[in-house]
Amino acid sequence: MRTSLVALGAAVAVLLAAPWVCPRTAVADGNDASAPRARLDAIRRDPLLASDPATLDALALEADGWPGQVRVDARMLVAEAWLGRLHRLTGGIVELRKVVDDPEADPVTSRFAERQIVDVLVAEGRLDDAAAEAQERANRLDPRFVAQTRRLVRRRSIWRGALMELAGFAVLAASGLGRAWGRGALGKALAAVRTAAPVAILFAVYVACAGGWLASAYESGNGAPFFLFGAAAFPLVLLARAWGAVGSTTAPARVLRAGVCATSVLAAAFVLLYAINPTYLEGFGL
Amino acid sequence: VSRERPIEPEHVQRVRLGHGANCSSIGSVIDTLFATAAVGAAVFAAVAAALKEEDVRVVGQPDREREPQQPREP
Repeated sequence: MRTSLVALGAAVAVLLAAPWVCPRTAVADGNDASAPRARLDAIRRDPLLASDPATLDALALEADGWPGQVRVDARMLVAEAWLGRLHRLTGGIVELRKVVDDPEADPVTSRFAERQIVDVLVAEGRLDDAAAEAQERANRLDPRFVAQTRRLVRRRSIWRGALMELAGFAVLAASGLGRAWGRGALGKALAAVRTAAPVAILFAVYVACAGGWLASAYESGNGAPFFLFGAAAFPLVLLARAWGAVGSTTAPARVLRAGVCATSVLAAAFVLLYAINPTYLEGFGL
Repeated sequence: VSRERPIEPEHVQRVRLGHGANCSSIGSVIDTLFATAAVGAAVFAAVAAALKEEDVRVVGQPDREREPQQPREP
């Protein structure tokens, strides 16, 4: 997820960076901007200077006193270097925010800077901050991008809920088996597991192999979600069977147990996809 | 020598709406396939957890006539 967002951000950067990467003439910014423009261009043209922390620190300070578009260009250059090559995320975000708030910044650059801020926050895992930023500056962002940010927050909430559900399932099943052990009925659970194991193995192998093969068959396909889900479903089903064999036999208890076990399998599937391939989740609007 | 012709609007006969609607690749339904597998596993787990095991109970009186008779002591 983060990788794709960063890659998307980089692609957008390549497309949108042109207005501020291309050298401009001093005439465009007025005569007062000629000296700053020359200094900025000198830094741009020299790879060593463009990656030198001291030079960039000085440029960031100098840019505050520069006029018009050259100020915006300098701040974008500093932000790009700090966020990319120098990994100074906080400073980079500050520079981007200056660009967003700069009345002299053209709309394209301003929108690009705002999107970069949200992308960096998402890449850092600060989803709440990213969603708040996107919501607050929604007028500068693509509505779909804002919705995507909200979706990331919602997805993380579901992920947390899924983990809690799995933990609850483990506690309930362990509690039931513990009580069975206390009354000497654990053998009943083991017998039930032995009976169910062949079917569970067949099911897990079918899901892993058939699904994994189909998923791997197409270009850029990845069968890992199916392989891992098959491996995860097997112990869950066996644990469900063991719990069912020693648990209460009343109808409400059986229905509740079935619901918990089914939800746990779905939760495990969600956790797997969240960890290894969230693009599957996007297909369902999650 | 192959000549590639650009696709013009009149060449498009039909456009379907929906998720992966115009893609015939398995890749367009792979997420649905995974969801199906997940739901199937969930149902399997639910059935496994809800199965009821009944104790074997012997009803009725044992048939005395079919019981092997004890040899009488001389």
